[in-house]
Amino acid sequence: MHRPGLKIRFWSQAAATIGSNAYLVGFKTGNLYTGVLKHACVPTLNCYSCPAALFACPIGAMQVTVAGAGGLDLTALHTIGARLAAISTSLPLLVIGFLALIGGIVGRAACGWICPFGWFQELLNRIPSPKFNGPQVLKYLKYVILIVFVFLLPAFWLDEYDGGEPSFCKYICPAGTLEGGLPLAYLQPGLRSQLGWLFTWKATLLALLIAAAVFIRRPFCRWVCPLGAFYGPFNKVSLYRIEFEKEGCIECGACSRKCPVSLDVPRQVDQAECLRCLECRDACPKQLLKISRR
Amino acid sequence: MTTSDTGTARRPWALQIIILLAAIALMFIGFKNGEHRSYFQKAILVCTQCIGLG
Repeated sequence: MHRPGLKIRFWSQAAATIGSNAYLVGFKTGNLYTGVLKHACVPTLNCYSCPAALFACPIGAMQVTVAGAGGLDLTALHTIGARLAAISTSLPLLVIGFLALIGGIVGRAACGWICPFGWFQELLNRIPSPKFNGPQVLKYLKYVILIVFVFLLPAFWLDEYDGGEPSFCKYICPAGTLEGGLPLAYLQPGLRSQLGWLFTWKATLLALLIAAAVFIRRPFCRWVCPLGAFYGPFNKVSLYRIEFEKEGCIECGACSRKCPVSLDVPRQVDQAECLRCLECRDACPKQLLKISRR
Repeated sequence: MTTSDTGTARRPWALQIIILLAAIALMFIGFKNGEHRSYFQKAILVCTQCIGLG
């Protein structure tokens, strides 16, 4: 059974992708947008080095704040008040607050409805091919990546000038390679000539991810994305929830087959891995999934 | 029976309000610290790490 909700989600993802990357002239000139909107983050993963990006990336912004403060040198200050003050100016409070506000209201729904990179993976998964689930245990990897690559390494792995660097962006983020690296390498020959092993590494990761996304549903979102790790726990406390009425279930499996992150919907709906995309609700022939206020 | 009944207990409104107020407070403090300016400075220049230049 299909409801209009499915197409609404598709167009929502398309609109969000175009809306957050509407500086299309950047694809012609190779220059980034430098207007006032880049003071603000989008609530999804979207590289600010994409020539068309209008906003900042929240994961990049987190790392910039932590790394830009010269690391969290807690031993340098002796009073508790001074330490707390130093920590507060080294933590990305603005973007954490912003993401917590989004998560506190809608949980992980931003991943399911407006994330450009999530949409990209869903489009890849439409290519006819055998589909696989992948090992479930890998879902914990994204929490490690959030803590280690977004907070700890930028804070404590300092260069000779006592500055950190955005380790997730540098070593992992395939969205940066796709949206920023590849277009800029194409548009700026001078930049292209300087690319070396790091670009090769990141391009390889992107190629592997693209190949995986054809066979596995949204592998980056399920296993790697630190933003998904941040939003996930908010599914338990956000303003609404998705309820599943087990009594009427005929175990047809339609809900799980439609899930873009391959959840066992009757048991896992609305848990931290759920993107709240409502594909399961729209697929259920018995209409057993409902949105309700918590 | 619903998964919500068998899984997590129903959260009181108080927790949601605390989360939302804390989020707004963090945003306010971060804005006052000028974090948006550091985002801006990073976002208007090509992020060499993001694109794989190092």
